[in-house]
Amino acid sequence: MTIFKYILLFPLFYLVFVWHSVGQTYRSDSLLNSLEKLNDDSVKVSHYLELGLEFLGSDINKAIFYFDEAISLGNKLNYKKGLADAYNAKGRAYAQQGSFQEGILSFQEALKNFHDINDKTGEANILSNLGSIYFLLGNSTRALELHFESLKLSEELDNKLRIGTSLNNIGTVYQKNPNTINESLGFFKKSLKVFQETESEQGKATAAMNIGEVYFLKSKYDSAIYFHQLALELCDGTLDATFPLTQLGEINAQLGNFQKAFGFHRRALEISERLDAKFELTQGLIGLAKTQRKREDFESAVNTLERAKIIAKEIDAKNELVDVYLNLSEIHAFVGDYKAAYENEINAKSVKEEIAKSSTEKMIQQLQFEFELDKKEAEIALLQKDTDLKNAAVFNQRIIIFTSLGGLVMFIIISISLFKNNLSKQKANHLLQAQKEEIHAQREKVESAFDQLKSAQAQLIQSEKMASLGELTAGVAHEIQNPLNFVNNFSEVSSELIDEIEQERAKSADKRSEAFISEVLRDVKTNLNKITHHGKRADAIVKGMIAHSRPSTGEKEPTNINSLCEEYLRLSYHGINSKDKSFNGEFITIETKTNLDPNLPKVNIVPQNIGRVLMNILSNAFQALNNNEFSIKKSINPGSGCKPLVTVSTKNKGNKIEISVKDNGPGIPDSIKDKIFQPFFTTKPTGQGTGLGLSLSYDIIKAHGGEITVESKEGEGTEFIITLPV
Amino acid sequence: MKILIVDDEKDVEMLFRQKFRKETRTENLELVFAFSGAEALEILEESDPPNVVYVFSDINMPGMTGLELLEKIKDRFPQINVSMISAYGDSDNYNKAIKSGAKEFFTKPIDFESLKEEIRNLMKT
Repeated sequence: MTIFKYILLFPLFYLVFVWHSVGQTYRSDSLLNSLEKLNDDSVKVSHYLELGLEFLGSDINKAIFYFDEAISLGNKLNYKKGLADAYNAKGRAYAQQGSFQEGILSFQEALKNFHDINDKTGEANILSNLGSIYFLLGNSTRALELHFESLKLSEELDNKLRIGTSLNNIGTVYQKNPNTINESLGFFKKSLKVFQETESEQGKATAAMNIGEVYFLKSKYDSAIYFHQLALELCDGTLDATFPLTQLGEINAQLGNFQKAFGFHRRALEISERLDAKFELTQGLIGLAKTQRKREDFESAVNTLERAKIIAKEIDAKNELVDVYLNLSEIHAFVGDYKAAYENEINAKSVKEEIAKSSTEKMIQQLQFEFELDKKEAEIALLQKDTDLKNAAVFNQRIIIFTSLGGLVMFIIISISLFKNNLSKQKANHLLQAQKEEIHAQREKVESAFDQLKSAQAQLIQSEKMASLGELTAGVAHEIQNPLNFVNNFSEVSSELIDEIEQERAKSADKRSEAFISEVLRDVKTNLNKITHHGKRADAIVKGMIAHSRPSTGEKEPTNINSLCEEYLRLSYHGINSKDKSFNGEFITIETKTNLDPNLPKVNIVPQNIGRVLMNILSNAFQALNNNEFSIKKSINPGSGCKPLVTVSTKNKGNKIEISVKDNGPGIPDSIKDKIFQPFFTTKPTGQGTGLGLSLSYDIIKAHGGEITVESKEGEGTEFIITLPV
Repeated sequence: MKILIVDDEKDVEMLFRQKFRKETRTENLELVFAFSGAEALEILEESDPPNVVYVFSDINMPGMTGLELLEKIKDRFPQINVSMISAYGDSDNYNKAIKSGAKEFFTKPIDFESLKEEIRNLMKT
């Protein structure tokens, strides 16, 4: 029975076989004829293939020869499609021949070529064929793997015919194991459903008869009848119809419908005989015998079985032969012919042994083959591994080369960048050097500029002294003009007075007034005093100018500061006295006071210069007090004890001495306090101050390593403090 | 006729009195002295209208300068003649003085002949 289940194994093969078996000779001749005219191209490959297929039903060796021709030419042309088809056909030929191992190898070649040309349908077909071969070899697991793989591909392609075939083949594999019979029914039903969406009568019929067989095995006769009837309607008259017909016969016999049963058996046998299908005929006869035995028509059953035995032996259908022997044995035993029963029993056993032996051989062969295959695969794997390793090595080498190259490039880049860096550094260094030189030059320039400035300043001070002298000339002109005015005019008026005296003396004694003469003479004397005074005044002004403009060249000598202070206080007091008429005038009396430290050490100074400083400060103090309005106020309030007063004091401070000049004058406004030491700053009217006095004083004290500071409060007074190092 | 002389140099009074001794003795001339601008203004304000008809003022004085005094006199008593007497004979001071209304500008040392001439001219009118 099982042989029908791989009816879908080589669907193409069967179709070709069935259709062309009649006109075979004619067609092969025409193919051979046209073959000679063809060049070595793909068309010739197809021709070899067709020719091989023509012989597949009649002469497998010839078929294989033409397939090999096709393969050899296909290899020469590297015509993959042709190669794939040729290997597929050759595999089918081997499978038909029972050379499963060779079949597997051929199918594997076909698979490779289909894969190369990306023919998924081809791949799915080959996988299905391989699965069927493994099923025949008894390796159900591998068979299922391949069928499922094929199914997956078919589903991807959405090829219904292929899906149906794979589902059917899977069902067939499951059916072999009684434990998975239900699964097989499921797959057969799915197969039928898929085939019903197609035009494939053969597919639908095969699925239906397989379902029917499963139901028959499960003794569900109604269902079995239904599906076998369905199959029969689809394939009646063809070889395929023999299986459902035989099954229907047996089922009806089980149900006691012998008339119906014999009808089915007869139809099956008719078809087998008509198509000269000996295998199907054997099976049909066995089925008929079973029905006859059920009918207890033992003689007919034995006759039928004997006929089946002859054909089975002829076609070497061992399973069927065992079936025949076992049935004969049972029938003979049942009718009491124990000898015949025994003989048949022995025969069955021996065929079984043969089957077992061949099965064992097959198994051994299979195992050997598998082993060889595994070995080859292992070798291939090893080779592959080797190649991989080599590739890996090459890859590694490449990596190393690339890495080295990369490294080299990096090195070059780094070198270049370093070189550039170095260059830029050098540049920067050069620049820095240049800048340094520049800075140096600049510094020298600045220094020389500073020196120049210093000398310029010195010159300026000197020239400013001269300029102030020039300024003074204008200002001092006034100062000198005034005494000169008096000198000139008093001498002139004195001359006039003497004229008057002479005129008076020229008068007669009685008219002459001696009193008048005496009075005029007194005036003349006063005038002469005035002339002397103003002459001296002019002299002092000129001397002051000279002192101011002359650069100091004095040398340092230990000096008694106390006596220096006393001297200059006196000088300045008298200097002011001689200058300013209002000083000893009716309003102002300035008092002076000294508060000198007797323990003062001698200090190393240039006496003339420090003297000038004291002179400046003291003159300022006296002039401040000489402000009429202010001094009048002070004088008016004698009760306040605030008479105009200048105090000079000295103090020993260990490593330095302090000189203080204090007045109770109007004070210095805050707005100008910080300007008083600036050169050319003055508050005095034109000609009365050069603005250099305090500035020069400051420079002189600095030159002595000392300090000069001022403390002043408006309306209360001013104090200048000079400190000098001992 | 009263004439005011303003100068911070006090010997000016003695000089002027000796120079004008004849004029003050024989003619109707009276000399008044002030030693600052402020003092001069005080004298001018003693009577209203002031009996001083002529002011001779020094320019360079502590406190109020002669030019300031000139402006003040011309502002308050425009009828009084003012002439400047200065050691500074520069054009700057001269122009300032004339612009402010000074009648004459005398330079030191004082040429008393021209001064007497000026006073005599004034007395004639």
